[in-house]
Amino acid sequence: METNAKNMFETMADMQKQAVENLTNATEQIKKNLFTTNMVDSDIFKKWYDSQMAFFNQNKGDNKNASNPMEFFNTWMNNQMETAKTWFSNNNNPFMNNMNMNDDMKKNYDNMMSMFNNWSGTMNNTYSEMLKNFNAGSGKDAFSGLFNNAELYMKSFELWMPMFKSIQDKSFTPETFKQLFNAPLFKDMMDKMFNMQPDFMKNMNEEAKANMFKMMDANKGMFDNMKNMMNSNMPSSNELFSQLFANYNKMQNSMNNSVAPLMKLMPQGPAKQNIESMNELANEFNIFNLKNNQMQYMMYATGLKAIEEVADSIATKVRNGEEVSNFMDIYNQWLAINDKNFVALFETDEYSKMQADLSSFGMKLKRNINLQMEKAMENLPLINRTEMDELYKTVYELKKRINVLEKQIDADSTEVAAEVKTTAKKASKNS
Amino acid sequence: MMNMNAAGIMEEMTKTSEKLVKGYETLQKIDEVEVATTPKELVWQSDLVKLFHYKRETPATCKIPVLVSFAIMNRQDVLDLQPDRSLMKKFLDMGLDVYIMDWGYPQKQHRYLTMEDYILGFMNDAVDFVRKSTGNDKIHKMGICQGGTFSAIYASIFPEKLKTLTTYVAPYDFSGNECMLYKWTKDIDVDAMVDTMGIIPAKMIDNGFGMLKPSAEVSKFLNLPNMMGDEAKLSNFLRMEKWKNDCPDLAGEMFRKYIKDLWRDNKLIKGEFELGKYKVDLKNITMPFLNIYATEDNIIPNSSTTPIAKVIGSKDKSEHAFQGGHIGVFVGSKSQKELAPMVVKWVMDRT
Repeated sequence: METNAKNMFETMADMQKQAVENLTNATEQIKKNLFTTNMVDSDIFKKWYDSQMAFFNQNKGDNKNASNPMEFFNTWMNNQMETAKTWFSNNNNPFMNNMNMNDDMKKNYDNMMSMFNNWSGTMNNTYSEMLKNFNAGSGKDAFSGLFNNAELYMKSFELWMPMFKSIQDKSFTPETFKQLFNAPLFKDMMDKMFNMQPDFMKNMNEEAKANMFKMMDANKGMFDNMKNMMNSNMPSSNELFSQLFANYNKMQNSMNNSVAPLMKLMPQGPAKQNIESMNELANEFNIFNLKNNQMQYMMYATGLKAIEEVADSIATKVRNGEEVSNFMDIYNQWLAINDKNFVALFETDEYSKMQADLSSFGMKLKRNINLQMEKAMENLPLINRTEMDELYKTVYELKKRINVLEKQIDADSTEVAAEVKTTAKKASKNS
Repeated sequence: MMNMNAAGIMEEMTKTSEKLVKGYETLQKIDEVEVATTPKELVWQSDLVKLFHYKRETPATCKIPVLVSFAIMNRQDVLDLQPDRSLMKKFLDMGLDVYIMDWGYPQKQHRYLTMEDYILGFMNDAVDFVRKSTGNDKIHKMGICQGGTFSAIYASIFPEKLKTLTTYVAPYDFSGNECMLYKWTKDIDVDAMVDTMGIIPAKMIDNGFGMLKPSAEVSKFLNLPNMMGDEAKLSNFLRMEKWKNDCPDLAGEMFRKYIKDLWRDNKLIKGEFELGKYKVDLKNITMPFLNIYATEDNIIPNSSTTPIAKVIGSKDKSEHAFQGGHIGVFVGSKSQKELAPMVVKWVMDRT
């Protein structure tokens, strides 16, 4: 426990130092842009940091604190934040109220965000350490859920942060929202919330890709070019999908045309069949990714619509002079509007058919890859999945047969026992 | 009011960190929570399926035993989540003699188990065991959700073995699209799923249910930090989570027929469903029938549960509208105070 606590605290100390250094730099830059007064007194930071490390060093060897590291961590964390908060507020309030978010200011505000991101990075770094202190079970699962959702909450907080000032100033409009909207961060949030690729799909995709490249490597001469073309042509989610499919088909056809003469020279046989199968697999894999991107685009677009509704709602409140006093209210509103929009999407025929199509295609692709893998490994002394399935079928049928026979024996035994009883009764009557 | 500048940002980060630290401290101290603690003993097993008999301290006042079958895609432990929210315990306390089926955890070798195996095999064998071991020609049968549908199918084929049939929040008519699951199952390529995976992963089914309310997984953890000081509330939360995360995979062939014949083609309510050598005619359900549905059920709409009343042959048939949701039927306090006594009385009156 003491070892784990030390690792966490050392990490925390480093992160805090980095965070405050970034904060210092950002503050300096901001002040430079607006004032000609003195820079932030860096001695303050040095003194503060030294005093914290002295506190830490005093306590880390103490058995009493080692047995309750979290209480110590809690106190220490509060001290850091209170000190940094007071220091920052004392030095920066005058100009913070004058921020007008021109390009330079935006850049420096982004620098300040790195403080936030360092905090987030610290929590993530210590997360795996924290989990080691749990036994597997409900407590660990609940903490994982708590942590992951705190992460989502803070991502959402980060998304709205650039807009807080204008909300407080009552100058917030939907246009402000669009200007300050961070699309990559929003995509992260959606991915986290909807688990855009659940583990089994992620594993399937990763396995499929890895297996396919392994098979291609086995036929390296023929497919080096195709592999490179696949990697460089993986589509992004922002392109128009019909155009993507058309472009992809063009690429596929030109690739097929370029290798066609060579393929004609190859004699018919397992090698040629293998190559043709892998060509087909690569094609199917790319189509799957295109369809998957199409589906995800639908999800992202719906998520965007939901958050724009939240922005409209806040803008209306601001216009009507209502207070937006609490980020938790914004967050809860976003969750509710998100639900409304996504449930509406999920209930559409379009979504249902797309989901079914994607699932069906993905399943067939996985099946084909598995079959190709089995063919590639057929000379190895390994039992493959098809053979195991045949075995399972045999075992299943045998179990059924045994079940029937056991019931027959039971029934026969009952009949025999009844007969014996009747015979014995008759015999005793006659005697 | 929140200070929406950098100082406010730091305060928000501090608050979130504090909640995480408090959560870490408290959750670390919690031993594994237990569910399904009402004492019971294993009395019968066939392959992965088990039959348990709840232990009684006093003799049952109801002489005919009850056999309960839950849905296959979730664990029956939710019926006995904790002592003060246990439908099974309530039944025992009120005098019933209760047996419960445990459908087990299908592994890869179980991929070929069919609906016939589950209903004509496991369920029928369990019924026969209870009948034989208790010396009763007929027993009371209860089924929940998918277990209710299966129990109704069973009752149509073997009406002579059942004294009464009670089903809770069970789907019978799959023609509607009120719930998105009903729409999706019309489109999914279940053959591709089963042929590829063999065993249907529980995570896939769970993700589907999760999409009924996407924010539920997020919002439940928003309230968790507030529970850290209340051990009872926290334990209740953890028990529910434990049950929710303990979902079995599904045998592929059973899943294939269940989705195609019932969800997609709606054969059961139309009288076109066949199981093995049997043509399933719901008119053959002639024993007293009690159908319980939840008025705010967002998983199995009432329009899917109630139509069975029109097609069964029972003269003694009734339905009960439970004010609540799908899970509330068996875990809420209303279930303890209102539903359980009503059901026990109904069963006892027909014993």
